[in-house]
Amino acid sequence: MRSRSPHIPRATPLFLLAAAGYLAVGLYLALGVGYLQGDALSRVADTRAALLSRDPHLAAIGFIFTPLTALAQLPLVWLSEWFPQLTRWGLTSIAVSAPAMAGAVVQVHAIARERRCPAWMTWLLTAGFAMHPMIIYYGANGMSEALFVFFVVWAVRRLVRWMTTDDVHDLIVAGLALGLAYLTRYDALAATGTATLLVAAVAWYRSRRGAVAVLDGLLVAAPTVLAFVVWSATSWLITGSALAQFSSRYGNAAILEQSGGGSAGGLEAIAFSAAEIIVTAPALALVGVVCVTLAARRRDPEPLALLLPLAVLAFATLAYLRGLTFPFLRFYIIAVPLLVLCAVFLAPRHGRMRARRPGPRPVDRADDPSRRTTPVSAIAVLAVVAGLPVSAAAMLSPELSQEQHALHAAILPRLGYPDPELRREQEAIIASFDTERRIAEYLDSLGLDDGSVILDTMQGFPIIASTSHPQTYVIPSDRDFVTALNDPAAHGIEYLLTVPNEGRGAADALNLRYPTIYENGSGFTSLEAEVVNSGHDRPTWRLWRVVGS
Amino acid sequence: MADAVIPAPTPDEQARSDAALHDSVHGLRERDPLASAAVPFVPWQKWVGAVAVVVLVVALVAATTGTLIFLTALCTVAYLVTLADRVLLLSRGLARDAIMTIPDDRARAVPDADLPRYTVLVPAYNEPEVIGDLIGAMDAIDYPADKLEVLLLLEADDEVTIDAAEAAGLGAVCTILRIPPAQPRTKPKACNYALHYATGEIITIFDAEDRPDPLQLRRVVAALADLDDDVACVQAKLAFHNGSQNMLAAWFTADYALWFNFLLPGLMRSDSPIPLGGTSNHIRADVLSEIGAWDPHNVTEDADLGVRIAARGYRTAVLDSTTLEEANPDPINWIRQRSRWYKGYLQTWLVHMRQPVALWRTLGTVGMFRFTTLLAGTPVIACLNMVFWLVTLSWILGQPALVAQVFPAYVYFPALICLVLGNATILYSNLVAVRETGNPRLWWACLTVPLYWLLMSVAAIKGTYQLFANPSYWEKTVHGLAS
Repeated sequence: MRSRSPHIPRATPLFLLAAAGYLAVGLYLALGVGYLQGDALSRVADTRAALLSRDPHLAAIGFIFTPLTALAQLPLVWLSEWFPQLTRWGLTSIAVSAPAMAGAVVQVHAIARERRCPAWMTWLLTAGFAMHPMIIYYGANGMSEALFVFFVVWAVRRLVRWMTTDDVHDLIVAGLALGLAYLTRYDALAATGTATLLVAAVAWYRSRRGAVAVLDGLLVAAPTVLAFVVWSATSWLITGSALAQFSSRYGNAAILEQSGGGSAGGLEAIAFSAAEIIVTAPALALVGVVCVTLAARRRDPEPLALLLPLAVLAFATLAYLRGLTFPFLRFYIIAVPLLVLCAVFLAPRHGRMRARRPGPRPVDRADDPSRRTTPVSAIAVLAVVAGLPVSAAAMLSPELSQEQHALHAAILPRLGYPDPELRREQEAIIASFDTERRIAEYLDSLGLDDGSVILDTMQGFPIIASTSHPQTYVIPSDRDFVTALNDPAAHGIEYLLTVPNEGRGAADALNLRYPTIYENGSGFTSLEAEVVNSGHDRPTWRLWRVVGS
Repeated sequence: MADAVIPAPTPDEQARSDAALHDSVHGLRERDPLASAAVPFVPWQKWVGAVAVVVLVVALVAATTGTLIFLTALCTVAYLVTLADRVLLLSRGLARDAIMTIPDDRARAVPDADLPRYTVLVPAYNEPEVIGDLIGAMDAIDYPADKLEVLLLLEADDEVTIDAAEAAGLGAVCTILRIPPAQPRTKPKACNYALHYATGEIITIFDAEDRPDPLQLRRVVAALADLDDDVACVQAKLAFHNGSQNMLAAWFTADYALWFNFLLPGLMRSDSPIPLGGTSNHIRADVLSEIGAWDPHNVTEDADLGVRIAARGYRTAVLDSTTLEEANPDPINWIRQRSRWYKGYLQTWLVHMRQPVALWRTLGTVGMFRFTTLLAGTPVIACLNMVFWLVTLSWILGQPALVAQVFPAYVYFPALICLVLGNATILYSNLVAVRETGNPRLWWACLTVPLYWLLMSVAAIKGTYQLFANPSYWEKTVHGLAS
């Protein structure tokens, strides 16, 4: 099995081009338009709290999200001590998502190359993936989706290779990629579980030995198991809860309870998920069916690796059906690589895979008959490309695309508005966090002592991300937060920043301790300022000054 | 071949034997005293050790917490660096072409006329039960009989084994060489003695119970022809035939799989010194006598020779050819064997560190670092493991304040990474190793391997203690326990 395949050229130029593109879009959206995604900015604020708050400690990075997206930002966030703009505009998160999504582009490209797709197909499909509007937006907005897509696609590529090489390197790298995917988003559990079963099944089919199946499955699953155990144990030791996402007052379950937005279940939920998948990857059903048919005819195991993204989609659908998550288009983003890779696998197999160490049971890659497949491939590529405008249009729909539709006002404000109300809403969405930036600027200008303002970061995270002096604030991750909140005056606290005790604000730590503080200052504070929020779905802030301070 | 019955020696033969015996015990020490482990520590090493202990005690008394923090930080750095290097070596060793491969057809194709004379040394002591296996193994070797010399090295007063050998008609396949009884009764002494009788251009050692790949000698010849002239030694892989016998044998098998299939090839690819395995190392006879053969006072004379090969500017290649051995399935016996290895590694490190600057000039900085992490690091880290496990256990049980003081955040986090990622990485590499060596059924042993590390730690503590208490004592490994 010594490789005789043509050398696959270094992917550096493609990577740099894609990363630069996503970075440019990200910088434009953040600095030019001022449009930031809340979850991305919240992670930036948590990372900043871990590094530059009054009480810097790694645990402040938070346990609602798995930590990798935040950890990857640590070095840049550290620089925000001198350049607060880096966190104020969420630039540290874009610096992670842009290269991550470029990495996904490189992996998609490499899968097509290793499949020996003709050059036109390789490049059109790479471009169809790289220029998909969801891929561009999530490469540019600093969310965790970019890293997640990269890791899943990387794992898919390695599993495709493993199908022929049986190289342990491929199993190791696929396992590591899935472990890292788990540290990026919980959804990865679906991919790892599927990958483990798939590898075990293929290994058993080829060896007819249970031990081989168990061992190969273990090699793929082990990094995720370790990541899961370590993350849960850390979370449990520090917060007292192993899976904070499901139990914390900051987790999804709590948010859904406080502000609604979950699914009602049943057919409606399934129809919603189906619609999201269709608008994300309009040609998926068509290309998918052809892919399955051809794979079955060729007895080609390589497309089986696509069960990983399929499992992630199934997980997202199920979670929404069960009312565990939000109706967000981004939960279905993995449909994009799924569609593009289905199209890749229409091409007949050719040539061999390079392997650093061919395994004990390598399989010779059959050369598939290539008659009559070119028109099929061409139609599929066309369908992928033709779907891009559909996805773009869907992203601007408030119903299908809660989180993205404000892009309409950001980039195409002149493209017709039947409803002026919608335009106002979208402008408010883009203005989100603007109010908090001004509050931070105002408090910075007062030249306060360290630890003189207390707030809960659940709603106040943009303030922590924006301020030039994060040490001014006492926040829930500080280990003296509770004692300081119990007796603000004794702890040198001058100001309390409060939000209305309703909706998500009901879980705000200050409201939990002083339920009427937003209304009347709870008797020990005087109202310093009320700031009506210009953002969409953002709270009005009241700044209370501790009497006698 | 020669007759097994040896007549009474003539005066000439007696004189030759006496000279060989003297040389086999004292030769290295007399010619190159600094290369011999007859003395475990040279004076300056004693002084450095004593001063270090005094400084440590004074520091501990004067600034207990500060010193302990320094020590834990130092250990953590050592762990992390060693771990990173292990991962690097494993990843280099994992490439298919990291190990030297001579396919069967190439090995067979070497014309008999081109094959050099080959000497196989088989030292045995008090193990009559393995004689039968030995006949089979030697018979199986594919090498022209007129160029193959097999010397069975038996202590002259080891009547049981000699009787068994003669009763089995061993004379047909090999020459029995009776080693005159003298201290130290070690394998290296027997081999040194045999060198005076060996006629081969290449010398190798097999244990009596070994089952070498029949083409191994031919592969070595072809490999040496392919390799540069500075390659003096070819180490074949060792593996076990009784890996499923019990839990310990399974762990040991996974351990060897990792060591011989990935770490040694990784070391070879990194041009680092390679501690030879106990058998199946094939050495050019001219180099062997030039560098002084085996040190009878070193309890891991094989590892020592491997380092000496590197220290004299030669290299060792690792060959993809397996010799099957018997894994030690008995815990007590295993601990004795492993403690001898650890002690020998430390001996070897001390011997070669007697002239550190000269060694550094030959090995280079990286080679010196690897020599230290392998020979000193392996036993020392195995000892330290016990300390840190107990600290971890005490933390889980009672969270003593002292432990909290000794692990400030800048030590605690790296130490935690070390504990979690380090252990997980080594466990995972065991899984990889059993997969790649065709032992998938041992996956369960890989998952329970921390228990094996516990045994390793016990052995390391025993071996380190013995280095000071009884440096040259040879812990004999009992063979023939395989069911």
